[in-house]
Amino acid sequence: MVFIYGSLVLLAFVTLYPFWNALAISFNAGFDTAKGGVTFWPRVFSLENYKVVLQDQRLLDAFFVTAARTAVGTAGTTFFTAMFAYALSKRGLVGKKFYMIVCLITMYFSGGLIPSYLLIRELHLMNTFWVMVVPNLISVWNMIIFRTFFLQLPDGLEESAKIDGSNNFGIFFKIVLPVSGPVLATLALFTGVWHWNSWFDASIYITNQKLLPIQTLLSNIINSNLTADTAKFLKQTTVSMLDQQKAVTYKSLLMTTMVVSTIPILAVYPFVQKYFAKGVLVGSLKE
Amino acid sequence: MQKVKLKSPILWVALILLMVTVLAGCNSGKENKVSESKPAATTPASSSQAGPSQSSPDNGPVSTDGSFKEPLEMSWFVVYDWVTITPWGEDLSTKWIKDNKNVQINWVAANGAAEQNFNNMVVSNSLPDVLTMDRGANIEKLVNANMLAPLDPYLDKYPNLKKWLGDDALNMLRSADGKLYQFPNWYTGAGELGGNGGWMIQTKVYKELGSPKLETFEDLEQYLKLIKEKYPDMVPLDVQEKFTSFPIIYSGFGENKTFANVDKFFFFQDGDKLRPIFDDPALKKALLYASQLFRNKLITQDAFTQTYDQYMEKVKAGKAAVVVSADAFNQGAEGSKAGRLVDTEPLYKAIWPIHDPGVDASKVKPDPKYRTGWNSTVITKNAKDPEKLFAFMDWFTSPDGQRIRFDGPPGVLWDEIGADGVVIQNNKYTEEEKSNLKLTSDFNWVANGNYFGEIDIKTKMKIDEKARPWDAWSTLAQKEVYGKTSFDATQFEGIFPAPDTDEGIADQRVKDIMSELIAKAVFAKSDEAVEQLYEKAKADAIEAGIGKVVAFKEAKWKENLAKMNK
Repeated sequence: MVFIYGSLVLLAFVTLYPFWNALAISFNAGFDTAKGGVTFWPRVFSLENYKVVLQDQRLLDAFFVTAARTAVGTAGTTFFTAMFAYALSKRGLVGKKFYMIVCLITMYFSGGLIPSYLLIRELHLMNTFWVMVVPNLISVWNMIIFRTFFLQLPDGLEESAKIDGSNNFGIFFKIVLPVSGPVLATLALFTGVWHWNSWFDASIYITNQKLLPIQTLLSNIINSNLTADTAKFLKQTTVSMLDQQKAVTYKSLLMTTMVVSTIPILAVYPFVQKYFAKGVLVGSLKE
Repeated sequence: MQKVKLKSPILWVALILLMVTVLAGCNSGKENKVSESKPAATTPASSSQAGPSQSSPDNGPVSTDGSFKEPLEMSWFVVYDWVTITPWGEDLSTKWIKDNKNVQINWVAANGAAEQNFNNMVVSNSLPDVLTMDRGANIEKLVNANMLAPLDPYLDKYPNLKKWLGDDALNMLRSADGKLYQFPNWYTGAGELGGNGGWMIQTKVYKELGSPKLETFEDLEQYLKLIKEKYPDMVPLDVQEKFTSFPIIYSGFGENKTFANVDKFFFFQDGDKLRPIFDDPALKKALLYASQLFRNKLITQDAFTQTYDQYMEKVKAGKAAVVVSADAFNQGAEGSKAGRLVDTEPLYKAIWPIHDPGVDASKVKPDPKYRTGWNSTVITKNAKDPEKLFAFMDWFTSPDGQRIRFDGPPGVLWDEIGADGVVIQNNKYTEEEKSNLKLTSDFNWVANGNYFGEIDIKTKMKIDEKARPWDAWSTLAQKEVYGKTSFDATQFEGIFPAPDTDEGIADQRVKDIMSELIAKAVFAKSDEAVEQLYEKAKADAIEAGIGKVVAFKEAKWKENLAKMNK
């Protein structure tokens, strides 16, 4: 028993510590962090990092883009995937097997990066906001989960609605969706977190600096200073020599941006938790 | 009938897959034809546009000072993951260029996937107007695919590049078809080579131990042993992350041996021949020496596991007594910065490279430098008016242009230029205000290393004597040591085989064998073990084809020599 608790505590610590460390560094003045050794608590407390990060226009733009993308993307994906799954769960659908096989194929195989790039280009989605939303509107994995759930719904629900004269759309919106609360919430959470964290698609398709999501920006910050210190000649102007005692250095900026880009999505979890606990088993059993 | 019905969805899917594959095949053929015809279509268009300005009615330059009557806009992609982009116009320097020269550069972001993005652009024929990238395979790829605009027609109309680079370095940059496509970046041409790598010592500890003689490898070993005894908390010798600076140790065991021999050349010069690196006695000596030091804990024990951040933390905290680094030029300055207001002298001092007693100290040259700079800027055929772009770059590489980048625009920190070419600081701003100005950013990809070298020294010598040892650390270190111990490797420019050829594959294998050898040898428990590893690596390299790799590089080297002496 002690062993179980012990190893769980250890696991929790190992998972939490890096984030806690980042939090501590983000509250620590940059020039002090550079000396190394900041672990649990900031040595030289400073809010300077947050001031810089929260006032930087690029970061604020990126925040807005990520938030918009998460909102629109999650709503869109959940809605369209649910509709698709509902249609596929209807027994009388013509070509049902065909659709399923095609979906399964796309789940396992993909064209690769270059064909995707060419496709996006031909669709004129390059360098627009929609390239972050449209290609992800249907998630086959989630669609299958939805479908399994819809198959479990009793026929009586829909038949009674049909008798009252409702068409398919009416049934979907008025009856099926409200009942699917847990599934919708769980999958919305997964999609939302995915959108919040995704950076690669934006890094390939978007060159407009104002349209980058925050994770791509964070990846740029990480990449930019790793070799900038050793890049020849680049920092030898008289002005750059003057940043001796700056409270904000590359590392402190990095940690602060990381904390700031993680906190919002962390804050969403408590609200969706009750659905999450219920919803995890959704789609696993078919009665 | 029933059998057919059962199979029919699968049959359908199979049929459709077949159709899709066939269509994809046709389309990719079409795509190629389309993309091939596109450059063909654009070349007549661009040449007809370039026509009037090339064989222009007035035949004169479109711009003599980098300014243009109509706004000039260009998209510029610097193909590295680590580039930080500051949007044009957001700092004072680029704003000045925008307002006074009517030029706007739209940076294309790499977003951490530079190579990926580059490949995507090449495949879909959507390259931006200008690219800055490493020399070698990628640029040759573009040249062969006819995607770059040659710069020859503009060389005489716009004199700055030719003037500051020099003809022999210029010829080195020419591609296989004899045309010039590359505008070098950080070239030094006929001027001072510069130099970045070498050795430095922590001065406080050195003084306390009585400033012993530190010239040969034996001296070094004694000193490190002393450090280990008297200062057990310190790291005696630090060697960068992943022991990157091992080749600098190697270079001290002979004359004119650059660290590139071990790093990417895999040969050493023996008279006028090039021989495989494993035949070089200096390599074995260096491995034995490094292994002994590491065994006796005189080299930091986390040499192979430390990251760049961890290594720099030690340097900045003064924890390393001796540091050998390929970028001591920047790292020494960085390490000494923190103590600027408290120390009596900078924390680090550059020293002459440590060498073997029998070797002539003046011929130890660890750092390879290329007169042609470290990368190139090219203009693609997607640019509407390559001549205008070249005209701008030519102005930018001239002293007038470079001054904007290094000192900021006129009217901010300076108003006039002194007789010696150095700007006269107008002292309008305090130090505090200066550091809050968004004076300049990293936008210089046609840098004139010559001009920088000449002016930088003069500027740094004008710094107040008290601040000079710190603020001019790099310049002084280069002037006294690193600049004198760099090796002119221009003749070895571009000798590498393409990665998908036999020689290229063998080259990569030899590289892997070398890295493995260094790591294993350093961790070896005895000298005999090192010898064994060395012999095995030598045999492995021969089997992997080091002979043909060196022969290939030697042939290219001879070509280069002929080019330069033309």
